[in-house]
Amino acid sequence: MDKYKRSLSYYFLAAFFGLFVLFLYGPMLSMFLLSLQGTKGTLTFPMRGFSFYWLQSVFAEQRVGNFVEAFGRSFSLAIIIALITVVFSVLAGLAFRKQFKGSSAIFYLTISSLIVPSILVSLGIGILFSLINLPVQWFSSALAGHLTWTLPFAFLIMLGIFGRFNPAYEEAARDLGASETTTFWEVIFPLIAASVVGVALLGFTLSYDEFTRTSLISGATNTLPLEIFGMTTNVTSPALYALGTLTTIFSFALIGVTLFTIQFLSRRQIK
Amino acid sequence: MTNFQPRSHSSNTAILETKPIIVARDVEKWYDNGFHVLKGVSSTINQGEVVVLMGPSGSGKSTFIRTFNGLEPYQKGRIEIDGTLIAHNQKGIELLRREVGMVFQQFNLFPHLTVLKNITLGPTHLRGLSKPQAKANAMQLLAKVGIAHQANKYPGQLSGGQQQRVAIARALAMQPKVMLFDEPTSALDPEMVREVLDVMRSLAESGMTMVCVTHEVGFAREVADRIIFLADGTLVADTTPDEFFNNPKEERLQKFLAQILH
Repeated sequence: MDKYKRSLSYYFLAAFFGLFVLFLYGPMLSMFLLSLQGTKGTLTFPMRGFSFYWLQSVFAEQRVGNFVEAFGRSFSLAIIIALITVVFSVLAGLAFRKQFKGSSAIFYLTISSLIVPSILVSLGIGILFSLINLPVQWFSSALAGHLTWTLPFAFLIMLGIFGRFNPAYEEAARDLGASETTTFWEVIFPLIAASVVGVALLGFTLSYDEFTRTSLISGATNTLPLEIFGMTTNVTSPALYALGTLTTIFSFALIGVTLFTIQFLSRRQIK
Repeated sequence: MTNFQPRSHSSNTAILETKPIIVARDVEKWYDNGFHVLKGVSSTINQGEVVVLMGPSGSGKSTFIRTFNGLEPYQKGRIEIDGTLIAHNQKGIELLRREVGMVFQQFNLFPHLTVLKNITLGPTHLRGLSKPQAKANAMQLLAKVGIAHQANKYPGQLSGGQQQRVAIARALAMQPKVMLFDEPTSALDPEMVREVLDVMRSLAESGMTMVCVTHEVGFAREVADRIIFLADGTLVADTTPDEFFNNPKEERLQKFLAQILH
């Protein structure tokens, strides 16, 4: 028998994947290295020594912008967005298990927000707020802007989750005499809990790193992505990279915690 | 199960007071796509009776018993369980459903709960039983269906036959007045059919009112007081097992029996 030979497409795809990984993590890695520059280091290679100076400077100095406050705003906003997104996407998912009058109209109305260019959404919300004489703020207008982004996504995901959900479990609960509420909390929710955590994380990250939709409507204060963008124009030290490194570590930690939670929640569901 | 004594059908009706517990009058149902699945089916099932529903697939037999606990809405006619009208989406339907236990073809055990929790969930949440009390009851029921030692496993770790026995115990834990079985052995591997039928047999012997959709001829012959035959959404025959198998009068029924009895 011939020895198994890999086809040409294998090498092509492997090379492609290699490049993909390189471009995905290469920038992150160089940013990470540069944030560990010595005190005399600059924005580019080569490294001039090694220190945690720049990482500390993020917290110590105000000349890199108001990082801590911007982070606080982005973090709070992302939490609020995640909560609202989860609540309404789960409700929508429950509703859309059945065809109802106008369901496809509502579906397209919800989804089409994804197609509208982000900057126009931002502009539109800004105009709307000035029309009704409300000041734009990160917790009002930017909140609205982020929801136009997270809700349609979460809605689509919930449709998929409920598409896979076996209504037989609900029937069993109803036959035992459970009300709709009891059925939801005792049966439906525990079964979709892992997916719901995933949706919450999606809502959180979409909001946490959202830039375009926030750009015109965050008011006098900046969210973290806006703050970082501002710094790229006026901060000329590796503190910029240090900030990038810290936020990246934060994101990875968050994903780790979430994956652990999902694992924990779905540990016993063998079907 | 060699010591099993088939119930005497003639004496049965004499001993039991024939109090109707399920009364269905001219039940008609259309599916959303317009298919007329039940075309005016009427039947009365008395307390303590074991009734088997048979019929070719698509005859509406599963749909018919699912109307008994409001899982399937019906458009015309009337169904009463122990004197109370069953209507879909009506307020308080949950209260009625607690009186009607159902065993599904696919078991429908809650995959995120242990066997024990599957059984105690209903009684603790809906019957107001304390946890220790519900647990004691559940263990008793599990012993009855022969799987007390599996109480702390998850449904996914059990065989089909075991899962179905848990499902029967779960329905019984609510102390229903009526038990409905919707093809309880159809999804099982052949070697597991018997263990489930044995449990159903002993349940019938205990005097439970049972309505079973099943293709198990042996079970129908030995355990049923009556067999109802549905075809194309119409009740074709409603008779004793003896008449049903040995002296079928209706042509549609004769054709069906020729097919299933080989």
